[in-house]
Amino acid sequence: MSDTATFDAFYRATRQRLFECVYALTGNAADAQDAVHEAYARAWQRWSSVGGYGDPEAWVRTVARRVAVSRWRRARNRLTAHRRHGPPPSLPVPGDDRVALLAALARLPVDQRVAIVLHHLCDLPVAAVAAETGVPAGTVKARLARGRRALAALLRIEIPEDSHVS
Amino acid sequence: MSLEEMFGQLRGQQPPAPFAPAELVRRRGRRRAHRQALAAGVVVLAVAGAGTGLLALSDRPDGSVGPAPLGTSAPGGPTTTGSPGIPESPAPTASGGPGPTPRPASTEVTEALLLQRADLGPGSWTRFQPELFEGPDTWLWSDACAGYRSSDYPSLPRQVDVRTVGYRSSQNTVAEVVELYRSGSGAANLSDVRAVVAFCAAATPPPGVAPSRFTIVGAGIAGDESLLVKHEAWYYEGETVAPTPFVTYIAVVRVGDLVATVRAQDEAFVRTLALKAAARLA
Repeated sequence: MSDTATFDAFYRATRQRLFECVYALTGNAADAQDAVHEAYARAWQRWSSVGGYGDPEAWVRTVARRVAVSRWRRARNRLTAHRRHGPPPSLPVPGDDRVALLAALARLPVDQRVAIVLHHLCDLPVAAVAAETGVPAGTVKARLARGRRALAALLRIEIPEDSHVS
Repeated sequence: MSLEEMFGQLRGQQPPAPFAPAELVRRRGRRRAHRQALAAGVVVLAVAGAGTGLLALSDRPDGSVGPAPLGTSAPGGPTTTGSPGIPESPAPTASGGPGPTPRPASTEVTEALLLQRADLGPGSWTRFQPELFEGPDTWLWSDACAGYRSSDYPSLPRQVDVRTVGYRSSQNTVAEVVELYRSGSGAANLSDVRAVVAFCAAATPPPGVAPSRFTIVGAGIAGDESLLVKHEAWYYEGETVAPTPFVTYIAVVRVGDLVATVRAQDEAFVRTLALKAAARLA
């Protein structure tokens, strides 16, 4: 199979999954979609290498996260400036669980948000989250625990005490 | 509703527009490479390009890095925001020079470790956030040439933090990466820089990719250990490769476990900046 064919097949098979993860990280569907496209474009630039990796999806996911989080930080900075000079931002629509979850995720520190999204939405086990984010598994577990507690408080839901991650 | 059920609602979420066809994504990748090659001589400083990708120092609006790369740690986000409003640290008083430099162990790359406007000399410098990393590794040399593999460079998993900064004037562009490695691993990173330069010297770019050449042209210019690398990046002008490359110089300066990498076009200027960078790290 040619490079073009393998890339195209990879793109079609993984783009939706990647979009969901990046969307949860950013809370902005348009930004998430563009970050996803950008990550695949970068992957194609070096597909002769990336295509040979054991898990090229991890490569693309990391690049997409990097692009998305960078944009998110810039947007946050713009928002900070706006708050100094303009009206406060509108609150999310109450009653919409999806919007509420995205809004709650947006209030988590980036490290916790990334761990939560990779584990709970992208379905990566703790060890894979650790490998992908470059921290020990114990750190990932701590971020997950703190993130889940914070989400529970923000969303006013209960999380079983014995819930654990692996 | 449980957390898992709430996350379940995000699955299947459709993007605001249909995904671009694969051909358009590939075209975006090709345009990106072409744009980076052009940027080499225009907006930015530029770059490395060979192999499967380009290293570009651009100021694209999407900025640079975010999460840590595979196998490395960059807690708290590895880059600065590059805002002109960031208070700058006073200029260092120490001058960088050869020889071991004892310093307290750092846990992160602070703003004071980055080059500041005062270090750059006369001119109206605008600070910006350069995009320096193309792949998952937050290392300037990542994907520098075809066949690059993270696993060939054992210091990378020992990277603790990394920050970047760029400055632009009407005449020059400067970009800097400052990395912190775990205790005792800074020297290993310099070894990895030598290794990747040697590897890329022997690498052959894939068909259709403009060649690029790195050459170590100096050492011992600042800090505990340092290298000066000349980078020649050829680029496409239409369908043909331009006859002369775009040339930049890259100084890599280590002080303890901190490594600063500074890139600009003029060799003498880069040598000066290497001393300033070393003084910042000391």
